[in-house]
Amino acid sequence: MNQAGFVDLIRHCYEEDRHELFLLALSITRCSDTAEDALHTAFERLLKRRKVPRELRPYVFRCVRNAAIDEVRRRKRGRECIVADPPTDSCARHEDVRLAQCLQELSDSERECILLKIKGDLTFKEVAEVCNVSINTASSWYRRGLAKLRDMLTEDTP
Amino acid sequence: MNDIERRIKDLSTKQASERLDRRIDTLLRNSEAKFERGFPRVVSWWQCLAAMLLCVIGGYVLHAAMPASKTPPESPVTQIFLMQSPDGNGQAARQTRQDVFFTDPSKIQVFQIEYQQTSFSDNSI
Repeated sequence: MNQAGFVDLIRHCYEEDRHELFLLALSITRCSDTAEDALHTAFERLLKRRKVPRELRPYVFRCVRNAAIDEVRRRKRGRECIVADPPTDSCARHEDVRLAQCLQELSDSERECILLKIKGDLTFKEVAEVCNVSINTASSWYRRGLAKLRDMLTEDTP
Repeated sequence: MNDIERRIKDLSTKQASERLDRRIDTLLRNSEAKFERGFPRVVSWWQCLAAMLLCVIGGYVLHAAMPASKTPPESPVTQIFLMQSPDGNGQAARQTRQDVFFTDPSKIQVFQIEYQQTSFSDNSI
C-alpha cells in the first residue's frame, strides 16, 4: 500500500469510529479537552507508524486507549460525565445520568470492556486485543461490570 | 442483549467535536503533504544491518588494499653495539640506546645511553 492509501485508510478509520474513539478516551480521561488531545496523539503515532496492522480497527482503539492513559498520567483525571447534555428535569435524562454515573463507578477495565463491546461494537476477541488481555479475562470483566451495574441500578429503584 | 446492555447502547454520550475533526483533518493533510514532498522513508532493522555489514566489509577491503605503513614501535627500541675499544686493549663497550619516538616534534627524542665497561681476557671481539 502506498503512503496516500495509508493516510486514506486512517482517515476512513477515524470517520467511521470517531464518536466511539472519543467516548473511550473520555471515559478514561473524564475530560473532553484531554480526550481530544489523546485522540490527536494517537493518530499522530498511527501516522508515524506507516504500517497497516492486520486488525486495524482494534489497533486504533488500542492506540487511543494507550494515548488516553498516557494523558491521564501526565495530567490529573477530570470529573466530566460521558453523557451528552447537562441533565434536565426529564426522567429519561435522569436515568441516563444515573447510568453514566454507575458506569464511572466501575473499575477502568470493566468500564472499558463494556463501552468497547456495546458502544464500539467490538467482538470479545477485539476487546481483548485492545485491552491486551485474554478473551476470557475480557469477557469476565464485561460480565462482572454488567452485574455490578445491575446491582447498582436495582438499589436505586424503590 | 439484555435491558442494561440496551440502555447503554441507547445512552446518548458526548461525541467528537468539530474542533477535533478539524485537528485530525489537519494532521492527516500535513501527513499527506509530507509524503508528497518525499518524506524520508523509515529504515527497517534489516536495512540498517545490511548497511552496517557493507561498511565493515568496505573498511576491511580498503584496509587490505592500502600499503603497509611504517608505524613506530610501541616500546622503545634497544640496540646493543659491541665495539672495539680504541686503545685495543680488549675493552669493549656496550651501548644501550633506547629511542623513544614522539609524534609531537616539539618534544625532543630521549636517548638513554648507558656505557658499560667490560673486561675481556682476549681480543676476540
